[in-house]
Amino acid sequence: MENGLEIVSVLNLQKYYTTRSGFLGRKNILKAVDDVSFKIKKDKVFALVGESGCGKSTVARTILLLTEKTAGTIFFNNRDISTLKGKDLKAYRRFVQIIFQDPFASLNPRMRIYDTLSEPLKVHKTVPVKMYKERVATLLDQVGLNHSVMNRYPHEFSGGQRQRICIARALALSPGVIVADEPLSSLDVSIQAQILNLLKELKVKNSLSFLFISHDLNIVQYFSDEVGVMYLGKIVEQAPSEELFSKPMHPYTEMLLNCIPKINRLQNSSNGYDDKTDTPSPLNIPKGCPFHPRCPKRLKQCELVQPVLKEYNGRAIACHLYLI
Amino acid sequence: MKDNWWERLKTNKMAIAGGLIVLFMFIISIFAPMITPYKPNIIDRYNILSPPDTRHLFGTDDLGRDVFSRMLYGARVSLSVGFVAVGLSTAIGVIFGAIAGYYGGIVDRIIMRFVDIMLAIPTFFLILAVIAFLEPGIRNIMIVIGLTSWMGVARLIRAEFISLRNREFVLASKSTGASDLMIIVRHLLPNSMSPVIVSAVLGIAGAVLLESALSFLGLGVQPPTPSWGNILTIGKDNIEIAWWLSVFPGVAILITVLGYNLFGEGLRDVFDPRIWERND
Repeated sequence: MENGLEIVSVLNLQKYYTTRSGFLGRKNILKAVDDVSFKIKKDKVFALVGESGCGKSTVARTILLLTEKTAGTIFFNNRDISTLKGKDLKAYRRFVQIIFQDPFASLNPRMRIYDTLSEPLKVHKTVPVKMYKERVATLLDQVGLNHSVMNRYPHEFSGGQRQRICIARALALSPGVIVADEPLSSLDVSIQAQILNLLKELKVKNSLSFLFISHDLNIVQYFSDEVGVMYLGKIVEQAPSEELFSKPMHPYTEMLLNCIPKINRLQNSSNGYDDKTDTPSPLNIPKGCPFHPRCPKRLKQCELVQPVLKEYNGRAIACHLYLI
Repeated sequence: MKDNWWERLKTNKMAIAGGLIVLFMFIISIFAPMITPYKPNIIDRYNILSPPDTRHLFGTDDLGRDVFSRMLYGARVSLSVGFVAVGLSTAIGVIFGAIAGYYGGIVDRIIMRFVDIMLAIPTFFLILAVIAFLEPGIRNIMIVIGLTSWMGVARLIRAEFISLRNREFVLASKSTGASDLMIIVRHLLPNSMSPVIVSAVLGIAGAVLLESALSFLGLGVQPPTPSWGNILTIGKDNIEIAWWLSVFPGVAILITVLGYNLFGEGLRDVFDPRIWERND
């Protein structure tokens, strides 16, 4: 795979939730994230794709220490982030920032934009108080908004403008890694393109690395360097972006690519893929390969043995078809 | 949203009526000495238990004190007990509710079980029991009412915090490393104040009523300090010969409580987004 300094690496990350049916009911374990490993490299974009509910956002939240992990390790500059304390923890918080999906929920409705954007500065005291206004103005410049917006409230803005404000907040502490959790999926298509280009421009200007979470493969193809495909909490295929899109190997990846609507396709043929069935509930993951009930290429052992993620032709794949 | 709550309130006639009553009570209690020529404890010994006339608008009581003046000064007592008690209970409720809602887990369970225990004890009897040990008086009444009526606010704040604490703007703040206190004060509290304001206004009505009841029983404001409740006590003793001693303070309590309730309900409608949708 491509070389590059890794900044954040995730190793065998697990996040299980226990739910109970009823007061004294049976305990159920929901494996939201199960044994996920990947690396975010310097100046590169690692994308996680998959249907909703596959655990992408949980990965993001664990990296930001917003959710406690069940097992596994996240390394930041070769240090386990769960052991960070005090100053080191603050440094990590500064270095990794997040952009959320819903720009309507991610700004405090009762705070002026200036207060929202200067809050990270207040927390980390990176600039003297006198300089806040200037810094906020620079941030707004960077995301293409007028300085005057700093005195206004979030409800006065459209979705795209709000997402720009969220990006500005993420940039406030000059981070190295931005975790973008579906940053475009609640925006209009025309706005999506603007925001995507903005992200791309900021990535180069500020030399940012990204963990980019999305279910929109067109966007991922345009933006990412490496892609991990998640299905029911596991990565089933991981490969450099070009390779993955030119030649998907895992049947699930193939199905996802098949689902991209194309205008000049005569018929939306599904190539035998069962893309009508819903994803099985993560509370009740099928035995063997979790994808086998929907897979047109399933073999006998798919129903019995769970395939493990293995190196195959420069990518990683968890599928019996390639494990000979 | 924020800027047009006043517009919404203006269209709610009941709330306006309630607000005017509340305002009226404020004005008369502030300007009491200018409205009435008599001091509340001045005795007119030639006019004991005299019915309402032009000299004594609401009549006089068994010692010949002017009931109108006593009621004006009594309004001061009632309102200040209401405000201080509710201020205290709101402060306690907000602190407990915030801790329970924000931290969750075992802290939450302990606090909420404590709330359940407090709610299980009938407040009025609890207050009676406490007052039996303390000296009855305005200050103790305020404290006791405050200490026994914070549970509703705690529950409200806790519920608001639970629904807010995983909202993206809170998570964003958390991921920049903001402290718990900063998140609570800057993000959670300002977004959960509306139900608290409503419950505080409604709570004042409850406190006014409670104070009157305690004073009526002789466990609240002690004579000679006037209060609507202890005027009623005298009224009870003379109900066959002096109806004005019962009716005027009774009506005053009724109107005040009604005013706060109407105003509080109106505020609730104004703050409740589900009702905006219906009207918009």
